[in-house]
Amino acid sequence: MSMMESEALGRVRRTERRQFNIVRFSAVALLALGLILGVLRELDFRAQAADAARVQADIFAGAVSAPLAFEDRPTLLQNLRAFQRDPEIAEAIVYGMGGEQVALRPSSEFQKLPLQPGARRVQGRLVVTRPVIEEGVHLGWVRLVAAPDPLLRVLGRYAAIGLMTVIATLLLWFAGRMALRLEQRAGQLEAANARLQDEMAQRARAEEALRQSQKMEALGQLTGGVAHDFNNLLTVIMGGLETIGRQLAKLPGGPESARMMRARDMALHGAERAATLTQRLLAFSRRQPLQPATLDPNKLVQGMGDLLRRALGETIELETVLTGGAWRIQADAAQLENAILNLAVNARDAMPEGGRLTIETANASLDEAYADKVPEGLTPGQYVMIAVTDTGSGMPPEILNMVFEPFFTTKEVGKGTGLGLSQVYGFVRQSHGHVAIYSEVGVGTTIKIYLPRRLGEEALAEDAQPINTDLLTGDERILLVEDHDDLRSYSAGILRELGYEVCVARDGDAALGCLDSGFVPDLLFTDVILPGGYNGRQLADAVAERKIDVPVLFTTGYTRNAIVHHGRLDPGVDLITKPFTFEQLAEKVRRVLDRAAAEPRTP
Amino acid sequence: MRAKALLVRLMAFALAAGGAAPAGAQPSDAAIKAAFITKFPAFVQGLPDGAPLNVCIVGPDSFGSAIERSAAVRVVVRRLAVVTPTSGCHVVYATGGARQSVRDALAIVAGAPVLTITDGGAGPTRGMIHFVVAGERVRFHVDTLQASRSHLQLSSKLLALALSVRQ
Repeated sequence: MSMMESEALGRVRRTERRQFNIVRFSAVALLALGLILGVLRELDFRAQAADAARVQADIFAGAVSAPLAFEDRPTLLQNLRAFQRDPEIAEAIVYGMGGEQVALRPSSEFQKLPLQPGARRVQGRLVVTRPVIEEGVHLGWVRLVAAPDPLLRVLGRYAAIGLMTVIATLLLWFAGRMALRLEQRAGQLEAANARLQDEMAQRARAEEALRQSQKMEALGQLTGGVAHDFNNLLTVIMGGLETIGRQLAKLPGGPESARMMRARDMALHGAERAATLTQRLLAFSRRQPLQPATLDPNKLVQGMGDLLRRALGETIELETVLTGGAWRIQADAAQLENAILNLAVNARDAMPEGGRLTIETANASLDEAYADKVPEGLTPGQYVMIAVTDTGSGMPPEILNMVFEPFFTTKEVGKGTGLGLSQVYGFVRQSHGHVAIYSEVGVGTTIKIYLPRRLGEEALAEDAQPINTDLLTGDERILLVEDHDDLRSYSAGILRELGYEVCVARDGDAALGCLDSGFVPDLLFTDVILPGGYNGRQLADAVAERKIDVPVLFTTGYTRNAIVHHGRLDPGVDLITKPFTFEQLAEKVRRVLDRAAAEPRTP
Repeated sequence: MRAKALLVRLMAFALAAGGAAPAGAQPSDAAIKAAFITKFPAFVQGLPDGAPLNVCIVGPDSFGSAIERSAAVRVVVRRLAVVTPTSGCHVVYATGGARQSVRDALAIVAGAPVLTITDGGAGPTRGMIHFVVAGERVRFHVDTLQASRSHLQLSSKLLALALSVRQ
């Protein structure tokens, strides 16, 4: 396209140049023609003048022949005087047979010229010498010297040529100026064209980036919505399976119950895998609630050593290169581990023959120039880089753009979910970070995760103290709000089984109804998204307005902004994500209640 | 008018000197006449072509070699006592001798294409051209009647210089 345009431009310029050359050539030709015509005209004029002078001289010779021959001086002078009246003749000289000067009008510098018949120009004057001959008898010579041309006549003779020359010169000058201007304009046009091409290319790149991010966004919404519904269902399924397991455990052992237990285990395992997938979908859609904490990236990577070695197998060597003085980061530790594990698994699959996996941490400052090139947008600043490099098969450039899309996989059908890198991408983006991928076919792949540096001096998140599972029971009152019927009864079942007193509600109004009926909860356990006038957040606020100081535990499959701002939980908010197991819920509820008892909230 | 003064002086000297002047001196009347004689044919049409010009002096000759010296063309001067129609003269200068008078000589060549010249100093009989000295200058009369009888045409330029023209 640009080649064609610049070619067309070049053609136009060539045409212009050709046209200018024609004009220039014409002007030069005109000038030359003018000069030639001028010279010819002058030659013609001189020839005519010479002819005329010769005729004059012949007439003069005829007139003076007899007086010259017979030495009749008065007649000679009389004839001389007749010629004197002709203004075109300045001098008339008569010579005798021997060349002696016989008579002349005023004394002249031309009288000494040798006597050779003919016309010639001497000092710009026409001098004609003719013999005086009668019937073949040579009697003497006459010479006429023409008067110098009057200035006006000379001007008249040369005016046309001069005008022509002036016009041709003007034409040349004008054409030159025009050509210069054309050249300048062509240059400007070319520059403008180049600028336009640049802008178009830039725009095309921006549009491509926008399309890509819109595609990711659309995919995120789609997968997020699906995952949300799946989570509710999976919670119920897993809850049911756990209940079955607990009931089975109470039965006396036997081959049937063992078989049923195996079947339950398999079903639970499948459900857990499904839950992992929906987690990844949510991660990609950036709708999973993150629980960011201040982390030391080196410590996190080191802590994953055993896990990674197990995941990589024996043929792959694991190398960690950890920078000294790595900055702290603010991220969800579980999700970050998940992301690193995903990358490690991908790397392993890219190295079926074995190889080396390098995990590297480094501090990095991403400047504005770098941030501008990130189509999804990135804030320039300080980041910690965690790079995972393999020595595997690598990927060609054309698929690098697609690797973060959900369900995109280079693995054989059935081998991969296509969600691993999607989780990485979604998680990192949700954590205000950036993922860069470098790959070369046959050499390997490096994926770099950049997470923002955490400034501030708060303590690193402590590993949660394990809670004695025997102590997970309680007798506190819990207000349970959940719109999903099966899930509500599942959760209520768990809580009641644990010994808690539960008031269940399917929406905010019903929950307030519980309070109105005199139920004073020790814990509000609510879904974030509720039908009716309240969402989880607003419900918590409404409860607080009634001067009931109560801790809140939220649950959600995915979340919009009700309790999560910019993908992060507000500080002091507790959350349990769907799907959750019996143990998870029991532990979380106990932990929230215990903490509330230890640090009573100020009204 | 330096030349005019020169010419006047020249003529005065010629008159004073008389006779055949030596080369380089002022020309005498005779020398001038001698020069004229060879120039007249250039102003006459009807003379037979052919060179050299035969000039016959019939009677006493006062020119000596002046004619040959001052001739404008190649000339042969024959000095005859008597001219005859077969003498082959282009120009006859008759001065009238003992054997043939001017009149007789003119009569002999009358009707033939011969330019006849006479001299006032030799008598009143006039040929086609008749020399006189007038105002210290050698001048001539012209008789076109005689010329036309001899089938000769005298140039109007010659007539313009003549003292008189008989027609």
